[in-house]
Amino acid sequence: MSIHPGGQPDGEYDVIIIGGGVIGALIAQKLTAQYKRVLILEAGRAVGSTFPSYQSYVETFYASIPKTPNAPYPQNPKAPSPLAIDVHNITPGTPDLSDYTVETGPLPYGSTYQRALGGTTLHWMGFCPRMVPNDFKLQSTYGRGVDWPIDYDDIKNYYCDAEWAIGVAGNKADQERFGITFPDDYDYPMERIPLSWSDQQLQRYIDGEVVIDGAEHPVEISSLPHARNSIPRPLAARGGKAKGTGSYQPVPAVGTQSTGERCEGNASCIPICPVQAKYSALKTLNQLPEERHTLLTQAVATELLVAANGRIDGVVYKQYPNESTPDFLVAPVTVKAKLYVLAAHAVENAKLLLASGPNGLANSSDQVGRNLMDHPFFITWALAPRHLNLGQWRGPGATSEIPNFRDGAFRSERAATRIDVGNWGWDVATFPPDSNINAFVYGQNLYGPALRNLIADELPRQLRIGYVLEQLPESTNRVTIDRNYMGPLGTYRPVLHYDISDYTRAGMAFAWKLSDAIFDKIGIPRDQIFTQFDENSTGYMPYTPSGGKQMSLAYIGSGHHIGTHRMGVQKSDSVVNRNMRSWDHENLYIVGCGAFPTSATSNPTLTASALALMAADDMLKQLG
Amino acid sequence: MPTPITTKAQLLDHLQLALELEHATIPPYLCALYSIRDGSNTQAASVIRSVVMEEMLHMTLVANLINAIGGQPKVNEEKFVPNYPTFLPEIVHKFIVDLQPFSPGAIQTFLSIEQPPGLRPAAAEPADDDRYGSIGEFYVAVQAGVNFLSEKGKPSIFTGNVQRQVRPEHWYYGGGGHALIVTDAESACKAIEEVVEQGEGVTGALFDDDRKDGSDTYELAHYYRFKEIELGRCYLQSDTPESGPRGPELLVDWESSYPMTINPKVRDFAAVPEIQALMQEFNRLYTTLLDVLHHAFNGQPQLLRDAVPLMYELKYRAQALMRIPWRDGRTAGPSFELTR
Repeated sequence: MSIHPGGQPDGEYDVIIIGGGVIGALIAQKLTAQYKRVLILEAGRAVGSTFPSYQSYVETFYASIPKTPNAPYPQNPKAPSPLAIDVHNITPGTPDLSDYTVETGPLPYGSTYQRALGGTTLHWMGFCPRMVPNDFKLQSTYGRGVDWPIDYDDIKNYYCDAEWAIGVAGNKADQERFGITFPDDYDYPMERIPLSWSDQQLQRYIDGEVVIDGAEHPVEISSLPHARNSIPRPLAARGGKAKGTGSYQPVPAVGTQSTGERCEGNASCIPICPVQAKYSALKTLNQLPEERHTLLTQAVATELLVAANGRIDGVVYKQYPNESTPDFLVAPVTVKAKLYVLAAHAVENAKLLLASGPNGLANSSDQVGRNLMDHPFFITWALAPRHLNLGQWRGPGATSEIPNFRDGAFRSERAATRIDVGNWGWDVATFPPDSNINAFVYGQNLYGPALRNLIADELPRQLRIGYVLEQLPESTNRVTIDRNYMGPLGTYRPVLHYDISDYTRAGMAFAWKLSDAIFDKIGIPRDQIFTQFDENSTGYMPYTPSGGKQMSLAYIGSGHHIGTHRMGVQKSDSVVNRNMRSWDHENLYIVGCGAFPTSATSNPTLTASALALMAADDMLKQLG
Repeated sequence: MPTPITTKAQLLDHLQLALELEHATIPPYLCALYSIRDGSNTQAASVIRSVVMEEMLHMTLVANLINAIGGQPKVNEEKFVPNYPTFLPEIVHKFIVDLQPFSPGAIQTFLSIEQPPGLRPAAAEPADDDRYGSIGEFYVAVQAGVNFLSEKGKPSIFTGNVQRQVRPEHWYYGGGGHALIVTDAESACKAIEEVVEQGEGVTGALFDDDRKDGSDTYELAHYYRFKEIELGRCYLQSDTPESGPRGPELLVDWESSYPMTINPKVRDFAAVPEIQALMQEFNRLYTTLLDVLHHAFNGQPQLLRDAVPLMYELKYRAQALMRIPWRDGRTAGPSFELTR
């Protein structure tokens, strides 16, 4: 990595990439491998680019009391990130201004991202499931949402490339369902992360069928693909693109050879992997060839410039020497290249496009910022009977999923769901162990052995299951900018307008029934199930099923910002084409999860990475 | 210099000694590493950790060499475990190796262990004709033995069952490098090279040129990693042994470690049975670990994965012992005594 926090661009560039996260890093890797010169502009700090500085993140995390996703990463006043520490339910007509993002509701969006070198991969969980074929054609199969301009066959080879570029641990046999296929001679670069003890105990009870409203549904516990280092496979597993002999080399921590080549089960993946066994974009950035890239950090892109012929003709950025420098001392600088890549995050991409030009750029379709989605995360929790010997609190946040509800005819009526079986007790449901310890000490006046015994008895029995729910594109869910809400360096704060439709609420109501059926199947008595929500719950929302009575649901954000510059087959209703190239500006690519037309149920980074590699091929074609 | 290796039996004896040698360095490194309080001396801890992980890899590579030649690595016998303070197994010049906390003294010992050839350990006793000048020289002799026994026309010495080899997929932990499979003179050569280059070096070069493996990185030889801690400064790629380190400062706080008793023994703690019990538990676990390793190196390589959680457990218990105050301002500590 060549970092010039106070430096300047050096010479001419083929491509300027805005954003030093996973998407920008993978594109830079592919372009520089073909001898293109790349300039990367990163708004945040370069902390983490050396081993000692990454350790400073770890120390900050250890010392911080709320272990929120951004806890290890100090807020940067010049390039703030949404923290989502206290997500408030929104009073109609009164925007919530407490975070960096302004939320107008009616529901809180409540997800974070990270503006620092490495981006949100610094605190992501690292799950890398592929999307299922029907996810790409929701409209033609189920009459919902829209179709993608590509299908599974178009992207499947890029999935392989992305899995090897990121370093994903998985077993393809566990993933071959709902039409997901792999080349015969291919497998993930590393073996799957083993199922946790808790998964193995649950598997014995869960695998089989559940009955809901008289209908039978198969359920099973299956492994999740992870972007964290595990046991390497022989290089031959790369299939047709295999080069050399020996094994895949797991990428260690940045700046040291002795740490991070295997997951050690530290169980703090979110917000930080202390050994860097979990992939972060820092690893890819660290491998870029020195002579073919420049990385400017603390350089906030503020505007794209457009020439009379419609081509993008420069990026204006403001590089702050340090965070206390007054804004008026930071002069704008313009840099130019042949191609421009917007890889700054779904929300930041939309914000920058809306803020550029007299009335925004790349927006002839009026779709920029629209169709904002997330995966509303519905959680249920219970205390498992002692004989299950659940042994929770071991390993990464989840090592298994219940994949059976990711696709099916029901998607014409309600949202699909991907189900994570948690390893960290009631985690986001009640924030243990602190919450338990408070209750035991202050509520029950316990101390000494009695306290220790109760903790040892209860915490390992905490079971939390999470339902990642699909959301449909809706044009009123959107990112906008507003002169009344300005941020540092003359940039805007993103304004989020967000609601969750009955399609997703119906999926959530089904998830609740499913959860009860699963808890039943495990043998958890009803009085040991604690799932319940009311108006004071974070993310509360009522739902009235047709013919039923109103129920109280609630969700938390998954941090999966999707859909703000969607791809499509025509200029009139999409922002970019199938190669993520802007319809309006032929040398501008807008990449990342914002390009997704629909959300489906897969954690989006792997798909966004595969799309980025696809877009990079188009860039190479343009550059010649 | 000892006489050259000319028979398979001599080679196996040497390799068994190599196994003992690599292992003997691990408890001293672990004591120093685990005495470092969380959050202090992070760079020094990362250096010691990187070295100790490579020593574990070296043990594995030596076990693969022994298995390739049809021998049986022995790692759980009474005589395998040193009685600290100790000399290293009868290979190199004599100097005392203690179990002690992270301190200037510990770093001096580590420098002696990882001494490149030509630089005699300052603390060593007078030269001894039956011993090698350094660990590096010892491995040169092993290499020469392999070459001699593999000369054209001689029957192959690589008669071992390949199923006994520890392969990369068994080698759960990364960071030390790759487990190399040994099946012939060429792969044996590579394994020995890996051990020597990572450790003491033969050439006296600062960096182990890992780039030929395609990993695109230089690794500093062990000796110079400890030099960095001793001198409080990092080497740059352009530095030489003569120039000394000219890179960024490496901050060391000698005062912040747990002051573990030097060379603790279970029997010395009879006055406090609670501590004694914890030390014994540690030793039993340590013995179990050696048993698991023994089986892993003798036909059940898949067991190596099970050894990893045991290693973590040992770490937690060692750290717990080091937090217990004992006498003269010192704390208790792990004694690494074989206990069944």
